[in-house]
Amino acid sequence: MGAYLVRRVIALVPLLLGVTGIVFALLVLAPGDPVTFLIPPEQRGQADLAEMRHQLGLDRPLPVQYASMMRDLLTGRLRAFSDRRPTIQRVTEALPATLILTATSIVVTVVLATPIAFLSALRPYSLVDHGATLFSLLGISLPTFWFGLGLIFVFTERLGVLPASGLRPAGTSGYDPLVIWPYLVMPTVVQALGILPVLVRYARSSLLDTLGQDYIRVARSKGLRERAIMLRHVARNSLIPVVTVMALLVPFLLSGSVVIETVFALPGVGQLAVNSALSRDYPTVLTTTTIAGMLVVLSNLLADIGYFYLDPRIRHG
Amino acid sequence: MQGLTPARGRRGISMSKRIGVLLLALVVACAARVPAVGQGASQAIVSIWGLPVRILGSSEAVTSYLSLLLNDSLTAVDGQGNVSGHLAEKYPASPDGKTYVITLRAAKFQDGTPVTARDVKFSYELYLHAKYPTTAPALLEIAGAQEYKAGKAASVSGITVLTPRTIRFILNRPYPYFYEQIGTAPILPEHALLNLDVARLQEAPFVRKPIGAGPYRLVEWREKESMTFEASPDYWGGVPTLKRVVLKLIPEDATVIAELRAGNIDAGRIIPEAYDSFRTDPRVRVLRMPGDTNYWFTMNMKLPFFQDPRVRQAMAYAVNRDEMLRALYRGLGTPVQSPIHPSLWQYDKQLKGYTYDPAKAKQLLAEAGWTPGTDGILQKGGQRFKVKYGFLAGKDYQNQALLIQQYLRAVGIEIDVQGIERGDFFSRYFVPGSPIELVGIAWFNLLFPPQSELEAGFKSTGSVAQISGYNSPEMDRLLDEANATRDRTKQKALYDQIQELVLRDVPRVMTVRPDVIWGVKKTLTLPGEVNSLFAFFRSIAAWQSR
Repeated sequence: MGAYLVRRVIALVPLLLGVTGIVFALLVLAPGDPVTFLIPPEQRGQADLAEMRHQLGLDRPLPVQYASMMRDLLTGRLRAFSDRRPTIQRVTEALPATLILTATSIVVTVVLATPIAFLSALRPYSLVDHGATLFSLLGISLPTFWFGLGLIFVFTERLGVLPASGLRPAGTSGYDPLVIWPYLVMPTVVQALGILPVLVRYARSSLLDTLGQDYIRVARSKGLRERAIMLRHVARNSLIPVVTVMALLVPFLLSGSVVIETVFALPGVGQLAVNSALSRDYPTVLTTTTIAGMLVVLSNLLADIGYFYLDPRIRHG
Repeated sequence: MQGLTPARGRRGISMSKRIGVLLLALVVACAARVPAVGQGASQAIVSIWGLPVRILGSSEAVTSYLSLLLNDSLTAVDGQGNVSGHLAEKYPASPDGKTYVITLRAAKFQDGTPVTARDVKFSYELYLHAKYPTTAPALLEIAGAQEYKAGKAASVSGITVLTPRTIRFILNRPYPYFYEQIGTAPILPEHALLNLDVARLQEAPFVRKPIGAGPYRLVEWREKESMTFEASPDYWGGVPTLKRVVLKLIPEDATVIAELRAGNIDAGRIIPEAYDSFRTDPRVRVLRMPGDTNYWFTMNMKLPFFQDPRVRQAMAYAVNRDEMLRALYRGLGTPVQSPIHPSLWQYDKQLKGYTYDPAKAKQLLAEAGWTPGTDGILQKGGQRFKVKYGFLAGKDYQNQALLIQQYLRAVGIEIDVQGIERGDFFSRYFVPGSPIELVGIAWFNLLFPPQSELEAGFKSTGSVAQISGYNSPEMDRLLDEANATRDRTKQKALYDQIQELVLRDVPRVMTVRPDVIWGVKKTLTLPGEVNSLFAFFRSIAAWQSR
C-alpha cells in the first residue's frame, strides 16, 4: 500500500504540469490582454501599458512566463495580476466558504441518500421506489439558479426566516456553527439536491445488485438476522460504487459552484476561479487549477484507500 | 427479538420521536426568525454589486464610490457640479488663473496625524510618478508635471510647500478646472507610504489597509464578502452620525431584493421589475435617480457607409428610445440626447435631440443616395447597407442590440449583431485602428469631470474619437475654448454648443439612460436631494439612523 501511495503521489507531478500547461495555453490563446483589465479604456492614453506588462512579466516568452509562474506558485510567491496579493492567500480566503458548504452538503446528502436508497432497493418498484425515482429526476432537472432563487423568495422574501446572502452576519468573525447555520441552510439544500439523486441512484442499483448475490442468499439460509445481513454484507459490499461516486463529487464540490456562490453571495473558490479567468488573471487561474487538480488526485487516492479497507479482494489481491 | 424492536435512546424515547423533536426544534428556531442583521442602532449594511480589486491606482467605478467614504481632497464637486473647499480652507486663484495658494484646514488623517502641505505634495507627486499606472491627464497641467512624469525631474516644480499648512500650485497655463479636476485628488499620508516602491504599488500594505482623511476609516476588508467602515473621530467635518457602514457584496439582483425586503440589509439597488412593489412597501424609501450609465453606439466614420452625417442622423432618428426604455427598463429611464449627466450644470436642459421618426430617417438616407433594393435593404452604387454591430457581451447590451437591429432594419439598414467577450472587446476590438463598423457600449458619467469625458469622446485626439474616426475642427475648437475660460457663463455657452454639435454631427447615436433605483430602509434618514449614484455614496456620511 505504501509503495502504491508513493507511486500515486509521484504521478501527481506530471499530471499537474500537464493540466496547468494546458490551462495556461488556453488562457494565453484566448483573446484579451490582462493589462487591459487593469487600465480602464478612458485612461489608456496616459497609462504606460508596456511598463505594466513588464511589471507583470508579460513581456517574456510564454514558456518562461509559465515556468516562472509555476516556480513562484510552488514557493508561495506567486501574486495575482489584479491586486498583486499572493494567489495562495486569495485562494485560502475563499476556501472556508467552499469547504463549509461542501462538508454540510456531503453530510446532508449521505444522511438522506442512505435511507432513501435502502428503502428503494428493499422494495423495488414499490410506491416508495417510484417516489424516490421521481425525486431524483426532479433533483437532477431543477436548475440550481432557479431553485436557489425560489428558496430565497419563499424563506427570505416572504417568510423572512433565513438570510439569503453571505456565510455569516456582518461584523462577526470566525465560523461559529451556531451563528452561521441559518446562512447555510439554503445553499446546502441547493447543493445537496444537485448531488443527492446521483448518489441515490448509484447506491440503489448497487444495493439491488448486492441483494441478488449468492452470498446474501447463503446468509439468509443460514438464519442470519436481516439487520446483520444488511449492515455486514449488503451495505459494506454496496459501498464501493458509492465511494467511487463520492470521489468524483468531492473535488467537483470543492472547486466551488459559481452559480450557488453568486445566488447566495458566498465568497467561495468558484467565483474566484471564474472571475479570474474572465479577467485573464493567469496566476490565480493557475493556482485554482493546481489546487483543483490536487483535489481530484487526492480524492481518487482516498477512494482507493477506501476500496482497500472495504473490499478484501483488493486488500489481498 | 432485539432486531425487531425499534431502537431506543437512553431514556427510552424512540428514534422516530427523537427525529420528530429535532425537526420541531428546527421549525421553532426558524419561526423565531433570524435577527435582521441590518437593524443595528447606528449601523447600515449597504449591498454592493462588486468590491474593489485595488483601492489605489485604480479607476474602477466602485473604487471611486468607496473613496468618498475613505478619502478627502482639497476641493470637492457636489451633485450639481459645484465646487466647495474640503481639506482646503482657502483656495484663491491668482488673477491670471495660473497660481493657487491653498491653506489647509486643521484636518487629520484617520490615524490621528494632521494633514500637512507635505502630504499634499507627496500625494500629487505619487499620482504623477512615472510608474503610477493611472495618472489623471489634468494633473499634467501642473508646471513641471510632465517632466516629472517622464522621469526627468526629481520633483514637481509647480508644487511648493510654503508652510506646514500652506501649499502653492503653479500651472502651465490658465487652466479653468483646477478645483474640479486637480483639487479633487485624494490626499494620502506621506508617513504611511514612506519608501514606497511605486512600481510595486499594489504590493504595499497600505493598499489593503488604507489611511485617508475622509469621514470613515476602513476597519475590515473581507475579500469578495464585505468592507466595514467606522466613523472617523478625527474627521474635520464632524464625526458622522452613522457609526458603522458595511458594504456587503451581493452580486445577484434578486437576492438583494429579498434581503432588503427581509430587513437584512439597509440599502440596496432595486431592479426595475421590483420598483412598483417597493413603492408600496411602507418600510422602504425608494430613491430613483438618473443613472450614471448612458448607452450609445458609435460607428467607424472612416467607412464610406458612415461618412455622410445624414446617414448618422438617420440612425439617430430610427431608434425608438421610448420603446427601448419600456421594453427593457419598464420605462424607468430617460432617452439620452446629451453625453453629459443631467445632474450637472453643464447639461443643456433645452436640448431637443432626436425623437423616433423612421420616415425622417428614410428621407435622410434617400438624400444621402441610399435607395431600397428588392428586399428592402438600402443600396448605393451596388453596395448593400449591411454592417456588423459588435457589442460588449452582456444582457443589457444584447437586448439593446436586438432592438437596434429591428429599428435599423425598418429603415433599410441590415446589421449582424455579435457579442464580444470583455477581454477581447477592450484589448482588440474597441481600440484605434480595429475593424469596427458599428459598436455598442455604455459610458459611466460622473467618474471623471465632463470636460475629460467630452475630450475622450469627441476631440480628435480623444481615445474614443480615435476609434470612431470622428474629427471635427469645430468640436476641437469648442473643447479647447471650454478648457481655457474660467467664466462660468462662457463655459456654459460653450458646453451648450458642444452638445448641439454632438447632435448635429452624431459621432455616436445615444440611446437610453436607465434610472438607478435604490431602496433604503425608512429607519435611515438621507440628507437633501440625491440625484446620482455618486451623490448617493457621498451622502452616506450624512445619513442618520432612527
